[in-house]
Amino acid sequence: MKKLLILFLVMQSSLAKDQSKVLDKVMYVNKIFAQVHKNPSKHSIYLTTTECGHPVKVYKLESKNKSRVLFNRTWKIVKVGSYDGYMNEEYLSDTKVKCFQDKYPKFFDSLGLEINEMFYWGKLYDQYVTGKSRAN
Amino acid sequence: MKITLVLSLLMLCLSGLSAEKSKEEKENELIDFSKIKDVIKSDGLEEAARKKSLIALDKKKKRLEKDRSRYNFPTEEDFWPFISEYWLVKNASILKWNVKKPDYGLDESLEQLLQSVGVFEVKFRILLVDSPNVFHFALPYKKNEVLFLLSIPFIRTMDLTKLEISILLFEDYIRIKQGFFEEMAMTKDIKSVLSSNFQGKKFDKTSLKGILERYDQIILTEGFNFKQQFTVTKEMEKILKNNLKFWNSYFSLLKKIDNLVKGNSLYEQYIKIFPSPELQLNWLSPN
Repeated sequence: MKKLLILFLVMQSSLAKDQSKVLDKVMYVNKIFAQVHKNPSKHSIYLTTTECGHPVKVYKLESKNKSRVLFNRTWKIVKVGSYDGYMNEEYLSDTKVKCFQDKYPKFFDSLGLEINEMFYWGKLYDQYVTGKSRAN
Repeated sequence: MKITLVLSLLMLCLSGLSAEKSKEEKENELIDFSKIKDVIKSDGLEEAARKKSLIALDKKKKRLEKDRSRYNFPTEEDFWPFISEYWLVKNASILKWNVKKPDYGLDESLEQLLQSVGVFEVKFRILLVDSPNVFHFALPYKKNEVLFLLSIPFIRTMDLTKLEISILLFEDYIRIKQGFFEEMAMTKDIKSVLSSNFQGKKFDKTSLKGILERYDQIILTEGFNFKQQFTVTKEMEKILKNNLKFWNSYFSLLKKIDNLVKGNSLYEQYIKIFPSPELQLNWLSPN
């Protein structure tokens, strides 16, 4: 059992070595605030909070032979400022959306949101359980 | 020398900060056309100048409009999702939504229920809270999107099934569709400023405080009245009676809540918020 586990870990690390991060595109934050996580999980450590409209560099994983490696359907590998982390793809758009703070800048500024409120606002989106009823 | 350089750089920065005027506006300021009127008239340039000044005027108008729009107050459609989330952020410590929660599979269960009762293309968000102070609510949100608030201790104490939880949320959906929450939360101050513009005026934050206080009252202390509950219960009857499984689950849910509020002092407050499970059972029981 132990040998199998070691073998699995060795294989994982060798696979990781064969992969490299390549800049894919620039996307934009589409929620009022959104969090950048250290790992691809909503329970992972928060690195920083981004504001709606903020451009985010999105990376893809490529293997040695340049073929794309499917990483995750929900999480994007991102770089925001000096932070390398992960963001939920639901919070990102290919084009810049009309954010609430852009539509009503003076109203939004007048709220005088504190840093911890911005942080919690970003966290809020991670806490939602979402769904949609569809017409089949 | 250095001081002059610093000063000139500072001047340049300040001039860059001031509101940008269009090229045409600047040209109009520099050239006084009245002094060379005769010359340009003979050259047929008067018409060109007139067109140019019209363009400048149009650009100025647009610039001023853009500047004014920065002071817009949100429209009602944009306001509700914003204020509901703002209330959740402000009350994060009371509601305790910032905790790790198990996956109850409520998304699939609610999706199925909505589809079964013919409610299609409705998005929803469920925020599970680890507090017995809040029971279950649908907050005003976007068009075709519902924001639910659901207490984990509340559903755990009664050991509700997924279907019962979904029916509980569906009842909240019916309540929010009736517009009761918006009606009660809306204040005169906010109603008067929605979609308005406050350029040149100071934005009065007390109006926002007022609506946040109304949220507190509705969710934590006052809740809904008998008339509203009757309307919701009868609407539920109309929709669920066609499906025996749902209908029985609704009955069993109300019985469980009734037993809880009668037997557990922690949930006594429930009948003030949703009056009352016992009455709802009476309204639904055939005489």
